[in-house]
Amino acid sequence: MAGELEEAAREVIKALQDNEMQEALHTYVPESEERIRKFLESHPDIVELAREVRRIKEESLARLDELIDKAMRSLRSVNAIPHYAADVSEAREVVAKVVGTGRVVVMSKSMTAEELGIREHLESLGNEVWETDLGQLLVQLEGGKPMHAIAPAIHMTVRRVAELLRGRLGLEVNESMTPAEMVAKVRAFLRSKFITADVGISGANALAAEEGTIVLVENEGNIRMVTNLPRVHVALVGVEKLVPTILDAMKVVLVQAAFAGLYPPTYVSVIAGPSSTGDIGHKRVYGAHGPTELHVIIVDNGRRKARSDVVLSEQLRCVRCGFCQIVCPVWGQTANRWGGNTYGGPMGVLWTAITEGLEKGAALAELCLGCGRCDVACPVEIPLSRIIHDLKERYMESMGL
Amino acid sequence: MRYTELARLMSELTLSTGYPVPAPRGFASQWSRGLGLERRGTGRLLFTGALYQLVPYIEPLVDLLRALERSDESAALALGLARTASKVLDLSALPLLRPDRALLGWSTGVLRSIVSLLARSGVEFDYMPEVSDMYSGALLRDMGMKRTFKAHAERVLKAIESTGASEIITVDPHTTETLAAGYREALGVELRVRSYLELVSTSAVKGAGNLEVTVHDSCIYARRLGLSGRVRELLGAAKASIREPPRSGAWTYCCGGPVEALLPSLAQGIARTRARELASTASMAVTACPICYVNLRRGSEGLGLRLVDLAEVIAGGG
Repeated sequence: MAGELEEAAREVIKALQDNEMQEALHTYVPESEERIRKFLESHPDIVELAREVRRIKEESLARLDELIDKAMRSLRSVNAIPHYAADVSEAREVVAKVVGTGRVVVMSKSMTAEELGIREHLESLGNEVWETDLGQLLVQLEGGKPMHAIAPAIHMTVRRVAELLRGRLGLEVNESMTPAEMVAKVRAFLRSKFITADVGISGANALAAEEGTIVLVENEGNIRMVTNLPRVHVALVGVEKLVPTILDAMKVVLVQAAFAGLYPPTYVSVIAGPSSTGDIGHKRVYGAHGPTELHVIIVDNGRRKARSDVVLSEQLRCVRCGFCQIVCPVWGQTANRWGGNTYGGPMGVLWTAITEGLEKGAALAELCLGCGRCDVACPVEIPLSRIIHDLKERYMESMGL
Repeated sequence: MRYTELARLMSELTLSTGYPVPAPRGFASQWSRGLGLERRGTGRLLFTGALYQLVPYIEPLVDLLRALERSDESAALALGLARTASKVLDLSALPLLRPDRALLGWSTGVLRSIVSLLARSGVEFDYMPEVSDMYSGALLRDMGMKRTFKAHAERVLKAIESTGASEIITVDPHTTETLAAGYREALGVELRVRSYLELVSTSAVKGAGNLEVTVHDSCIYARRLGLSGRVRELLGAAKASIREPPRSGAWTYCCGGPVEALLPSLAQGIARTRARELASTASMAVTACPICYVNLRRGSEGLGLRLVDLAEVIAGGG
């Protein structure tokens, strides 16, 4: 465990020495915090809705096994194909079977897919895989990891973005171009991928167990493409995303968007099964303009075990808005460099403990200030600093202190 | 290995000397010399928790750790040697760990200002240096050293109980919260703890002239103890004009202090971020916590920001 703290500290020092990252973080993060706080101060109704989502999530977690069974049945009833993956290797195996090899795959940004290493796994099987969220595409091009749950390339300056698009994709961009000009170049590049893709892989912000329906929220429009254009759509859903109904799921995504500073969200996609039509001979045919097949993979990977941990279980309420990251003074210096393989910052320390093991999470916890800003920020009132403190005690306990 | 060694050094020093960093015997009570403070049987104990007194000794240790930050091996070796040496030597006598003279004077001044404010407010209290200037164990608790914290807290609690006090007056946020919440969690006791901020009356506050200040709220006072309003009342009574920084009250920003021992450069980065924000608000910033003061002092180098402790301002010395 001690070695893991040394490693975590080395990563933090690297972040502090990364001038590009420091410039980006010191420019963007305080602005984002101020914008979200102002929005929430003027929208008490959203804060009230967030408290309702807390109750929905608590109830869902209490009924988790029942909701998983119900979701598996409901997904079948809407002609989706449900799967259950207990861990990383099972999830990769299911995705690999669906995708096969030599295919073009487009992915919308999914932290769960990132956690499971889906992109790298599919590439290793001989597939051409593209991230389509612009920030996540930049992360893919950089060969790093997402630095924020919603804004994965928050650590990159405009200069760095231009370098990556020019150097890795061969796009004709330079740092004197406006962001709009760069976005247009990326849009043109990704169009060809969307059109030719065989499989689209997304996450889900919520899965309604009663209706077998996934709900996704976004602004870029890439999720609509990923989940609509290819003939096969695969959705990876952590078990903590299960809620009883579509109405509950809509509440979750609205709160997530608001606390991420993206309200109203540009798009909310509600997906219940593959596309279909009954217009010819009154016979329902699956596979109209959207996908023919929808696979929904419900993923555990440490979450159900965490549910039995009195302290850590509260983290499963997280809607991954990333507001706790934005307000955290440590994260403000390091982004997700203070974190595990996928998740960083206050929520990331805890997600790392859940998905990569308590030992790793406990070592990361030692670098928390315990200042409590994350507790104030969390829409679903997860006592993040208290849980992190508990991990610190487990870390020191392992040293007999 | 560095962090294991550091945690063990702090743990062992606390259990052997009562304090988590090397400091000479009797250092914690130097501030009260000549004040005539004593046990008066008031039932109220002044408990400084020694945090203001420790700050001048923490500073050279943090400097040393910062110098060693880039090399795990040298840091682990130095801390390992320090652990061994601490069993036979007084580490504070080492030239590398000499206290910061300016901070020594500052911390004495702040504690004397607090005592003066309490006296002017008519608050009577007992002071027994061997108990009043014990360390609460705040840092051990912050780092999660549950066992060491509990062992130390038991000793402190016994000493407090031996005084017969029914109420404890504290002078900094970390000690206040540790005695109230930390001792409840670790030992199951409910101590009646009150910060001096709650006891000083506005009539005891002296005018600070035409002072324009910004306020750096301590995380603990603001988010856990709900005392940020009180800080402003006292500054208002001193006729100080307050300019609020972008992040204050429940949204106050940390000074970085809690990680200063583990990763000084991280603490410094956070302190710098906060100091810039304060400097863009006013040329003087008021703190009410020694850890905030010393971290922001480091972080504000070259920014033209003057830091003062609340007690210095409202006692009339700011």
